[in-house]
Amino acid sequence: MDTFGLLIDGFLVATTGYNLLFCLIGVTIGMVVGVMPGIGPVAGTALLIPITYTLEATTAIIMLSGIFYGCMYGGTITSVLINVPGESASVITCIDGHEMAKQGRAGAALGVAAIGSFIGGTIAILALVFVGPPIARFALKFGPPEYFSLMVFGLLMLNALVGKSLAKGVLATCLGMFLATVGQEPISGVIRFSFGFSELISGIDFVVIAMGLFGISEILGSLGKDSVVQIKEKITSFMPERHEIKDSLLAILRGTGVGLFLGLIPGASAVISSIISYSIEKKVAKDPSRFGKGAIEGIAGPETANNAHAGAAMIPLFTLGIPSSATVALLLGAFIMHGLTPGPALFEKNPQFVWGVIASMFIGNGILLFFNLPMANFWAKLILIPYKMLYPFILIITMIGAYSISNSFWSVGMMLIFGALGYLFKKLEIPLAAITLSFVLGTQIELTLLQSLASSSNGAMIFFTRPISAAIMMLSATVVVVSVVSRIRKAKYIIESEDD
Amino acid sequence: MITKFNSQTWLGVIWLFGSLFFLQEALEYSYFVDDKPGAGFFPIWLCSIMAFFSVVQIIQSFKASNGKTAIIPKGEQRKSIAIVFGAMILFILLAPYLGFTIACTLFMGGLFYYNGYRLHYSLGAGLVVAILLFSLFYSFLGVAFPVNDFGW
Repeated sequence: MDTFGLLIDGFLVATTGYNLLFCLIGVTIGMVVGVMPGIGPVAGTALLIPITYTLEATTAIIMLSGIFYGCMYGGTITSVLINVPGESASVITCIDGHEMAKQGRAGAALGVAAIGSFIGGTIAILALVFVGPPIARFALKFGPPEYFSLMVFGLLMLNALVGKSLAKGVLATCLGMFLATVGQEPISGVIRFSFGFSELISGIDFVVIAMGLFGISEILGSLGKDSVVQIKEKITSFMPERHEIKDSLLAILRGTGVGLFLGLIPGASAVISSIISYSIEKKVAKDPSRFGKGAIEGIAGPETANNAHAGAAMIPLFTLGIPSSATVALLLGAFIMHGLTPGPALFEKNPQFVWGVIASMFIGNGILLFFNLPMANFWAKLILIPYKMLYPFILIITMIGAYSISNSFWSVGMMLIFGALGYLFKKLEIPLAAITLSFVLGTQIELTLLQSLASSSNGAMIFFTRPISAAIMMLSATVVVVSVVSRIRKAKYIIESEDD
Repeated sequence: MITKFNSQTWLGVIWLFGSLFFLQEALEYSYFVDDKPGAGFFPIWLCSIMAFFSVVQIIQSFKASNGKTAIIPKGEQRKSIAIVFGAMILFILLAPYLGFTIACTLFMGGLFYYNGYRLHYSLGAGLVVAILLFSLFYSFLGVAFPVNDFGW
């Protein structure tokens, strides 16, 4: 069957009443998570994964991915109206978005952001539709050495892009992989690091780690920071002025390109996409001095970029089973939890699932466009809910989620430990995304490494003698060299600045 | 007061000891079995890399000059964290005996009360949330819940 036929089948799956309902629930929760400062997309997704235990795989992933891309839309509203970004990718929108709101043009800012987000998100999903299957077919040629090289490349990219310290990045990555070794070894079944606890024989559940590191730690970090919020800006017309339409459209197209490209790169978060898009817009503008004073391209570009990024991040997930960010790593974990093996075979073995989820993203983007234009005032009011009322509710949801993993309080206790660790790690600037990502990939990395070495007569040379694996390893080596050199240069600059 | 400078050094030291401890454990598992990598192969490498980078972290922490930011929260935030953590531990201890509905009411009510709401309002809101969550997750979605002898 051709791509269009499969996509139509996907729409038939996505438009069943149950799947439509959970798509709506997913994007609604995503909007709420995006609007509320203090709960990012990672924490939001982590907290809600346990709710999907009883759902079918397709329905569960439709809902969880709805949360992921819904967040990107939600964060814009508070950035524009009250200068508080609901999630980190919308930080850059505050600069010109809130300025426009102060000039009485909040509606135009939100309108352009919503339309840009819709276009960026839709084009990214179209890219997944048309680029995904060929990549997946190509990836079917991959053996364990290629997969190992690819995962190592992903983790190295993540280390190169996140965090300030290389040592901390490596420590975080190794910790994540080490946590994944707890329990049964993937080939021989030997039980490792269980220390006599029967609960550790099956390993540590990734939901426990994700909810602790991101959910609990985020709440602990936000305690005592409750502030009273007032919405002063009113929303009137959503249409930009005529002369702004062309500028906005070009910015939307550029933002789509930036988000699409960076979404494919592991470690390049949506924040990076929006920041790069903003700087490109400023550079190509005829009058850059308008930026910071309410330039509409300063909203159109970044908002489009972060939504295109969210869609593009699904391409490596669906085709290779490689997550590019912490939130996508959670989705990967959810795939595994629901008995699916992400990767190239997914397109062949579970076409109904893959195309159902892809089709739901088109529907979800349409719902979000409706949510963001006529309903923007309603979402803005959510921020008026005091955090001191909200966090006990979030905490109890996390405890329910953790309890439901093993029907015991062992998981809840473990989640609290990871919550405390996550809080300290954040303060110590240890990248939590690296821990989650390497934990999710840990078992596969070990498995492919052991399989590769077992089948090799030249030991580790197997990674350099097979062409695809060797090419990826070369790329990985380049990433390491560039990362180390740039950090040494940065350190030298800091030392010289201090000497001056 | 723990400062950022000290905490960065301590981070490296604790990580180093942790790595060495787990390395010792990993050495218990076979590195090679029939000329193929065994169960100890991967963790031995991981722990060794962690031990090495812990030392790098310690050295870097000595070189860092800006380390005066406290990482342990102070004042109201420290109190809030202690209370929230205490409330969660109490919930874990009480829920197996009292059941979810009562334990959740006490947990939510206690935190609302701590956050400045009146006692009767806090407990009332806690009870409403507990019943709603119990109905939604346990009765409707079939999610496992800790229950008492009466089944709630």
